[in-house]
Amino acid sequence: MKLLRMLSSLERWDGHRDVNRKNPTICGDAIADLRTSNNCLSTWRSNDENEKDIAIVALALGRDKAEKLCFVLLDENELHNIEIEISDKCKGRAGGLNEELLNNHRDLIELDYNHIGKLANYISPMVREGHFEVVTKLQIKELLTSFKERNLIDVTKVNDNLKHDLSW
Amino acid sequence: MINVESEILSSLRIDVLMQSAREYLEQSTQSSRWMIEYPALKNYSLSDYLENDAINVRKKTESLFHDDTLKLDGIELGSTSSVSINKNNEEFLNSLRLQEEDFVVSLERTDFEDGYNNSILDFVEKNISQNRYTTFLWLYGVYTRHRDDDRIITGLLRIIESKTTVADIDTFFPLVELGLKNPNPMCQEAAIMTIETWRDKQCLKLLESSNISSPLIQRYANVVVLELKKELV
Repeated sequence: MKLLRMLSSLERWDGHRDVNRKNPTICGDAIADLRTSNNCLSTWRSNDENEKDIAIVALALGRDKAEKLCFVLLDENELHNIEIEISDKCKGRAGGLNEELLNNHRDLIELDYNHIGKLANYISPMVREGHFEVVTKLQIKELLTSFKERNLIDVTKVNDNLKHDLSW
Repeated sequence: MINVESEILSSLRIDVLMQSAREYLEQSTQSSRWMIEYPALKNYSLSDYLENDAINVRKKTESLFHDDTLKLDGIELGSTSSVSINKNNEEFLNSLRLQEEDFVVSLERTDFEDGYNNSILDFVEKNISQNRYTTFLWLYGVYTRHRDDDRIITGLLRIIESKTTVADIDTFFPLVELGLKNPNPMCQEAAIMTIETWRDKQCLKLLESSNISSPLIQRYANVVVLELKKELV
């Protein structure tokens, strides 16, 4: 299984943000992209293009405005190798998205200091080697419009800032 | 130090404001804003207003409002006095300058995240809603005073990306150019995001000829170039 994890900003991961100490590792700002809640990290199942679109729309609905969205695809086996468990117990939260699609949400669970580090060590080279994707602002708008037209988004439940940005 | 905003402000005349109003009308959302703020205008063609000079605008509209002035971004369009227009703008500019030190400190400390608003963007939005033109002049002034500070330039570009349209390109193009020339990926990423928003041929050309320092940001630049080429060329 592939899991899509959003990166809040590309340049945090490209290694230019200096850590001025002996033997620096991944910078703290990149780790901040792996901010947990309840020791969980939110991801979305993304085994094919259709699921990838659902994940992108879900993430876009959680934002204030349509802007580029960068993400990596995590591999279930690799996560298993670094002893990170995946849970499907919690539905995703994405204002207005069809309830059934929220079931595609997956949490990486029971994350502690050690496992956040392992995850960062997994993601960091992946990003630097170019194994990430960028969805443009235009593509985001087109996807959101397409989901809306297919009645997969209830506009009344979409966050007001995003609605304003999209002129919905 | 050259006071950029004052120089531009001193050249402000009613015809400049009318041009600004025309640009607003080219964007449907702005037209809607006029309609919402001035429902009485529904009975008239807005383009009629703009084909006339400020005096005619005043004559046509003064009977429709309780206070007999039509304001665009806090500026009295009905007034023929450039002195009064300048005075309003200068007062607004001074109020922004008083807040500039705090603004710059906040800008340096803010990490902008793609897709999310923050207090800096809210602050700028609030001022734009009161006086768009002067807020943009002030932001340009902040840029001229801090052009060597990567974090300030990045923050300003993130604001521009979020709060401007291609209609504002003449004001902020130098900032985008500077952002792309800066080897810091943070600045370059923000400049590319602005280009992605503006969707303009001149910017596309600039992006294609830029030397992007980070392979990650280069990848993003490539995606944007490809998309804009399909759309513009």
